[in-house]
Amino acid sequence: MIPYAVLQGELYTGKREKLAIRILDLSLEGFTFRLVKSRKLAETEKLVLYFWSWKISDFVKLEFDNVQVQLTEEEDFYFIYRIEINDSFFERAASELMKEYLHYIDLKQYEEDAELSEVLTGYPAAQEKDFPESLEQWEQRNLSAVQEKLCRDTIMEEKWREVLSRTGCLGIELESDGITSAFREMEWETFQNFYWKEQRLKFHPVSACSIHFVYLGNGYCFERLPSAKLMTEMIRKAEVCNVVPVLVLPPMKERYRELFQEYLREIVCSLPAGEKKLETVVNDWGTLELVRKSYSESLTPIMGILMNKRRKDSRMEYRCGLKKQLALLRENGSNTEFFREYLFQEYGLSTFLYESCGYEYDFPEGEQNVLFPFYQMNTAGHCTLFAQCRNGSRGKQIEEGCCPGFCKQFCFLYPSMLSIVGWQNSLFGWDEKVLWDADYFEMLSNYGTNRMILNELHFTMHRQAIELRSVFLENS
Amino acid sequence: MKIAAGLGSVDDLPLFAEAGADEVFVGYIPGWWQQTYGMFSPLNRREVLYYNVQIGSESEMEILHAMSEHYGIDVSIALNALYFLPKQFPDLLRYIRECLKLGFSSFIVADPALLIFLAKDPACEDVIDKIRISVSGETGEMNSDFCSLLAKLKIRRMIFHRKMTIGEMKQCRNPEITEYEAFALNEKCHFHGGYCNSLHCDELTYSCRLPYRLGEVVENTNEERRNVQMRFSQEKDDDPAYLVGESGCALCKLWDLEQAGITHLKIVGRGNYTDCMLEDLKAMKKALKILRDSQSREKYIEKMKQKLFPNGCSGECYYLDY
Repeated sequence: MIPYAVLQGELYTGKREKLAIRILDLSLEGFTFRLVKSRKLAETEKLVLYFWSWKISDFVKLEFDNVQVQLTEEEDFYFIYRIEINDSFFERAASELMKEYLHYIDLKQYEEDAELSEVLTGYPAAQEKDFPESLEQWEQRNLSAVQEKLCRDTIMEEKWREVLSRTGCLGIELESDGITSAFREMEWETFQNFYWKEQRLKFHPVSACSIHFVYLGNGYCFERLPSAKLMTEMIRKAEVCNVVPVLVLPPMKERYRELFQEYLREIVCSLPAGEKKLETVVNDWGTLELVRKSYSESLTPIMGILMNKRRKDSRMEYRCGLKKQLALLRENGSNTEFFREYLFQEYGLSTFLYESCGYEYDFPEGEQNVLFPFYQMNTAGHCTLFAQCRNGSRGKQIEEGCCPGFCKQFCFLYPSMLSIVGWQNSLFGWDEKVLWDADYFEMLSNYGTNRMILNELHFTMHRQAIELRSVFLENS
Repeated sequence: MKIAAGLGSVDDLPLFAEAGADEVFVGYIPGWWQQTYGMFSPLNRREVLYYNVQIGSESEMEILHAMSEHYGIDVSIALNALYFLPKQFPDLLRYIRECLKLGFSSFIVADPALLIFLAKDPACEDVIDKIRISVSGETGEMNSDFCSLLAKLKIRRMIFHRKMTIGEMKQCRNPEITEYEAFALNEKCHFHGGYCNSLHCDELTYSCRLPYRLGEVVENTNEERRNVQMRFSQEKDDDPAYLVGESGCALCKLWDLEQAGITHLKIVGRGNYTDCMLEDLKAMKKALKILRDSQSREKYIEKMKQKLFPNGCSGECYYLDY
């Protein structure tokens, strides 16, 4: 039976009723369909058929008047009918559809996934064999590509300076042990120099920006959250440095619920009374409820990436029909007015966290937060890296009790051309464009309204970074 | 406990009913929705064109209803896309009304905005008391605080996501919610469906099936430290014989799941061959019978493995003990 998604029929009857039917068997002369026995088929005035065309990524619509419907078989629950069509357009459309469908079946049966993608979309299957040697190498290559683009395009470099002068609000993510301890120990100016050099972004115009916000914590893994004591220290340090701290929380698993509550209690208790509320990125509804019930006076929630969902994939350019459907990617749940009103009334939430993910989209009103250049594609409930390192297989997942922090040393590497890395419990795509295309960056900043937040790159785990930090500390 | 199985084709319902299914869940994308939104914004998580995973047209749904009434099988419609666009909400209401007219009133929902829309929007007043909502595991992380929130939104059933432990499921139970469903067979996915934002289309493989290698953050030339196992993701299984639970199995845990208050066991379809689904259903039915006749957890596991897996099981356990 041909899937309904690629061949659809509509019968219009004398009673002005429209009935959607599924084609059972298709030939160049006609087709069969079935109707439940309780439905009496009135005289058919018009038949409309929709043939999916892979070539144009759309339906080809054909209409036929006064078709003759013939009852051919009776089964337990339905009657089968046949419609004969003697029409060259029908014949051509049916032939094309069968050809495309059978071609797909052949590819699926006899080719590997990459080869199938190559035939259908031009996906470069042969490049799937090219893996980077390490995460560091992968990131360095990516940054070098950006640096090269900027060097070649002096106009773009100038454009960056103009855009950054307008878009002012820069935040940075501080997550790894190396960088957070540097943040705690160094003077703010020293730390900023250290940060840009260590992130290997000294070449980029963004390194001339003032940093106004620091995002502290981890949105994916509870094991990687710094202790409440360390978090409290960092929050205080941020305030001393006159930058705004933002707390980032992972989803709250039920088994961590008490620890989570204790964690939040300790942090909130350490906040000075009467001060501005601490912005907090939350990644699950339970935490949102917890903040509402117990900490609404102290914490302002921001909807995190794992709640603010949207379609993101580094292979988006190969998606058939993308150009036609790009408009559908412009919005997601955060653009829905009644939903935003509910979130604001119930939780005091009006800010969402987004990511640069390769395409343009629309923001709701107000200052929003945008992470760049990484974007989350997928996240595991149990850590895939822990499963691989502990049990030898990504699929043999268990609770990550006593995790030694495999992610400090290991990651999942993907073919370089995919711009994907697997780190901690997630797959991340890399949006190179946000680092070299100033216009795109400006769009994501919503022309200065949004807060742009730089992800932490992974060089902090490099031995040289640790040595570099020691050098800075000696010299500061 | 009852068995809920994924159904891809109307013709399979009689077979599923005979094999022991109590309930089925289906995908239904009417022509008008696809013609408007294509598969870039589908109603459920099956975004493919060339697989027979959706039931199909209105006429097929009429037949499905007739069959379900005859066999006494409940049908739930998967409306579990992770999010919907603002302009789609009136169309979603239209869709639900059409399904009600066809005789279907159970829906599986993953978008919290849709749950709120149905519970609170005045436009939904005529439908909210007529429909039964199951909250999909694709909604996100589930904990007792979230379940308390859901209880206020007139939810019939919680479907726990496949990465929760049985202990967590037990703790999340709420007196306002009467039914709880857990994954029991098939498609053990490495990632959390609720966090999967990547493409699921005909022309590109799922992101969880892309080739990968375990690598290092920093390239290390010290051979002594390079002692981790490196595996490629796509390990082809050349054995053609189907083994129940080969892509995910919780049959050993039925005792624990029942103790935890689970009322429904999910057998994922996801385009699985009918023959395989029938084997899964029969195995599950047998396992439930053994469960009913067993006096202890250990006895149940022993007898179940003897009967169903005399040559050994797949080892692809859904709920691994830590």
